[in-house]
Amino acid sequence: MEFSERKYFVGIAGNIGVGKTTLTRSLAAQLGWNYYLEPVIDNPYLSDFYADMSRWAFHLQVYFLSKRFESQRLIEGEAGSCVQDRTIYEDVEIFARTLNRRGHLTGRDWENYSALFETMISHLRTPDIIIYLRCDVPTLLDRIRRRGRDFESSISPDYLLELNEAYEAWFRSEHPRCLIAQIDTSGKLDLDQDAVLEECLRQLKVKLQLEIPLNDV
Amino acid sequence: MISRHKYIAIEGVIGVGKTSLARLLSEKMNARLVLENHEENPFLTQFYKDPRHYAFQTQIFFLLSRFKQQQELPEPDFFHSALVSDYIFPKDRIFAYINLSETEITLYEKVMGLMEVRVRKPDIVLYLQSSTERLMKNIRTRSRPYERDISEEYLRTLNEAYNHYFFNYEETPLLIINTTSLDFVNNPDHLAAITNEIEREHVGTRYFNPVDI
Repeated sequence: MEFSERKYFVGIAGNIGVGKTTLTRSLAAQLGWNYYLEPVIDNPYLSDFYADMSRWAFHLQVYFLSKRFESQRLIEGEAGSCVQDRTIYEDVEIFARTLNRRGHLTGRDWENYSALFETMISHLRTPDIIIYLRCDVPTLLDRIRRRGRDFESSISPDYLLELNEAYEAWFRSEHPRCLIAQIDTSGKLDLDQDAVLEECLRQLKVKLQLEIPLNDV
Repeated sequence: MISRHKYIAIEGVIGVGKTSLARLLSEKMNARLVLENHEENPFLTQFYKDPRHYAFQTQIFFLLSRFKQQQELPEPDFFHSALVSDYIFPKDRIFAYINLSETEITLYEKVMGLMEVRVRKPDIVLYLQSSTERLMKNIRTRSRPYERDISEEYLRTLNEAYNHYFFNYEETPLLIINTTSLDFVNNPDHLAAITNEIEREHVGTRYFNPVDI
């Protein structure tokens, strides 16, 4: 059921294990919107990258960017409002910036990549709002351990911390590209998903003047 | 004269006379002249030292630079009825295919494909052809400092790549002009012959091989 003529576009951003996918699904179900989960990108440069990060960081990031751009265009072609699990902006603001801080994507490579990114996203629709799910590292580690995905088992606390710092820097930056709201789930080992959803809906109501039937919440 | 075309683009290997012809046509047709802006590529020095390592970065830089220029392509205005340009955006591909590895081509094509659909296509493309020997002579005569180190071997590779590209070209009407025996800069008859060919109606690819003018 549509409550508004307007076509909304909400992005859910946050670190690995923070609960983006769960919130994306429940928010879409609550509002009757479409949802898009982060595409699994089989990046052919990943093994090269692990062997020599500085040599292949540019290729790696350009590949991610091109794939994300493609899926973003598909989303834009769909009718109706939607929620997206992980935004294209996290590619540059979080992952590329972390490679930059680690000294793997620097100087001209960084500038070349950033210029490409800016040019490409100028052809994309900006989300009406991004909900940033914040969480401290120990809680993230605990959630990652509990969901027990093999490929996530080697993620180090240091890496999560670096990503968290990149998120904070982005969130606090002067030009974050679009409206960002935050929900803090730090310290909550057994995350109350309903409470997160409720808080998310509350923020959407306030910040987007979104009409949501209260009895459903 | 007023051309039936709103947007004419000229291509060809370095030294063939793209910019000269673009200038002459724009004057004759009172069209706006759009010349390729050769932005300084910060990867070029390293690319010459270690092509395999820096080819992809170099290509993406050129691609982006050309794309940005295309985004700023002027619309026809009150004073000019048409555009004449001395390059086409997809020329970038010719160089990419010379310089990139197979997997890099795949990635390049992804990015190129996303950009290409956002670039305005010319109404007609003129491909100026010439022999490698003639091109070499032209380059020596005009002696631009950054062209000094171009070898005949490289020029031959480029010439073959351009020929290959345009023999398979289908995006717009294409007029292939053999310029080996033409001197459109100094001979008004030659320029007039080219202009006549441009204004003739045609679809697909057409050859203009002037032997008796």
